[in-house]
Amino acid sequence: MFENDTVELNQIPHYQEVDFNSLHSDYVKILRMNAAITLFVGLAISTALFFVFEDFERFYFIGAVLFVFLNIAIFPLIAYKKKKYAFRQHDAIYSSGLIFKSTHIIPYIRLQHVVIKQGWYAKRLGLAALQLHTAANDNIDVTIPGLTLEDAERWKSYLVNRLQELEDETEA
Amino acid sequence: MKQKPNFDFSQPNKLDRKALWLVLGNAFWGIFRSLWPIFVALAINGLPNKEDWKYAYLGFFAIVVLLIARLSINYFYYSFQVIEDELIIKKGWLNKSKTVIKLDKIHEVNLSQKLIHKIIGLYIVGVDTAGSSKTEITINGIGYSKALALKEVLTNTEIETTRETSEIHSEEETEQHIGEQTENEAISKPVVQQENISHNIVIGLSSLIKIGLTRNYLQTFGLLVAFSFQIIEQLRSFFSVDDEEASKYNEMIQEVNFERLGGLLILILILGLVLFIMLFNLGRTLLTYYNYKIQLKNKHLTVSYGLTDSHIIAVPSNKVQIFQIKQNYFQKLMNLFEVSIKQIESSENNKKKKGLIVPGANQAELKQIFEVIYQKDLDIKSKAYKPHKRILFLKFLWLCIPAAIALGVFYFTENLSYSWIILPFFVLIYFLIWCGYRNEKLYIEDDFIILKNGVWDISTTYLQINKIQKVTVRQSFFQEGKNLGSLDLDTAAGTVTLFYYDFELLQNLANELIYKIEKNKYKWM
Repeated sequence: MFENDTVELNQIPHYQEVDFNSLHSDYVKILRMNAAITLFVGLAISTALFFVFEDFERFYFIGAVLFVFLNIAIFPLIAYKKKKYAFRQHDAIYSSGLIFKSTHIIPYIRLQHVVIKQGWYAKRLGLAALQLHTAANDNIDVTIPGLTLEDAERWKSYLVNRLQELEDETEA
Repeated sequence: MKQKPNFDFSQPNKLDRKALWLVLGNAFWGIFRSLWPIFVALAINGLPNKEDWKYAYLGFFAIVVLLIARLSINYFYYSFQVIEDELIIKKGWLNKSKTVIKLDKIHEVNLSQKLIHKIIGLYIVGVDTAGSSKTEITINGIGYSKALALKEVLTNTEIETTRETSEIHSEEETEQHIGEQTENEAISKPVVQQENISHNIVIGLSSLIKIGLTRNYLQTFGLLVAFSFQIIEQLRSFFSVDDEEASKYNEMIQEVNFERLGGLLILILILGLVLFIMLFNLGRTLLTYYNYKIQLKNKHLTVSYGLTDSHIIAVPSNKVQIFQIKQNYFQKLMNLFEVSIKQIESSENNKKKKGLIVPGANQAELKQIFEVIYQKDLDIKSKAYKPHKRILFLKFLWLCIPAAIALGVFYFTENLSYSWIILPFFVLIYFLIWCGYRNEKLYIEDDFIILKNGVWDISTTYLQINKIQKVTVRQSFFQEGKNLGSLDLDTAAGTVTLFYYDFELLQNLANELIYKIEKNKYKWM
């Protein structure tokens, strides 16, 4: 059968159609730990408020403090499912956010360096975070958390090699 | 070929001899500044015994001798040299230090002069590298021609490449030969063959005065608002008598009086303040930018300016990250633009580096500058996009927050009768927001993203696509229904944010930008 599909003028790859990887399932343990610590701090502050002040109004404050801390603790536990990453041939994509969704795209040729970071609890679980730095300001660089250390190291060496390849291609 | 004195930077070079005076002068000034109270006290009171004077002199003398010794050692053991592609700086007598910088890591070399340098006739050479601010280096105190020569040697990496390509085009020489030649030239006599294509732009005194009178209006306005509260408060406390003693009727009369007299005074004060700030702006502009000259050599911008402190800054075009022009209504009438050329910001001292500012270039000069940097015409040919109207509603909601807080404050301080004050402010600020919305426009060209925005000073930001480091697409839960979003384009000189545009447009734009960067393997520096 004869086919004549339309051809698009420039078939630019779409970042929206990429298959994203989810984070490692153990990552939620770190979040639970963080949540527990946050809740503990919140409770401590509430108890302090309870004993320091004597008016009835203190309960409003305590309620507000508990509410804020509860939110801070619970929110990441829900939002982490939205954290996803993908490595394409030419760029890394990381998307996150439950209410405010954001998708970061970093082309490999703009990478300055790649860093692996581990907290103490992540170390026990064998997890690590991969930081991708560009020449843009440091505070807006991308960190992909919840990778196993092995994966993080493999991705890192992949990125470094890929960066080298691309640089060689440009110079050639 | 221009005749230039020959400097050999391959050998260790010392600072100029006069630089010792510079260092000593600075040191004595420092001592004097910190010790003058003691001198004054000694001069007035004297010392009890004449014997003690001897010790005082001796002590002072010892301090001075030690200081001179220390500074001279620093001076005599300081040297800099350029070997092949490295700048090497050696310091110290007992604690030696050696700093090595690869020439291709240098992204800006500038010459500057403080007042004292101007008197002695020496320059400071500042070397900025792409790394952290710690690696930035100053060579304090070399003569003008030597400083220029050093600058050329340090920045000649680009010149080499442009020269190479031009020569390959013109005559078929062997690559090896060119390589040798450039290397020799690089060390002994840098850049001489560039002089052929160069324009000069001089920004005259009249343009500077015009710009000085019309720039920074918004800040001035902000200052006025901030001050007006204080002025009103001052006046009130000055005019009002104790509240408890006066009856209600009296109070009313006094308030009317205050409003009449105070109104006039406030008007005079505000006018005075406007005048003062305008003059202040003018003075500052003239002082910093006096005698502003731009030299446009192929793909290089060399700028010199300054009345008391002078600066000479060279900017290679490929290091320019963002090009921004600003113009307000008055400046539009006078055909003047304020141009800021943003380069790489080091993350540690963002505030210090605002990039290069060209105050008051006219349309033709602006075009020339833009062409030297981007080899492209300044005009915008593509169609304009605008952010979605809903942003006006969103900003309305944001504005309600401070209004509500102000209302709350009035309510709790039981001054609810003054709460009408909020309304004119609300309307005024909302009007400004509306102006900002009206001015905002986005143009997408083949290799540029151009964003126009601003309330009074309308700035046009030209972002070349290959300068983009990272792209972030954002959409909030609330924007999903209307299919809106925003896009952050991060560069080494800051972020350009496209806020509240059609999400599909932004997604396509993000895909296209990334595609272009990756496909063409653009370099950003």
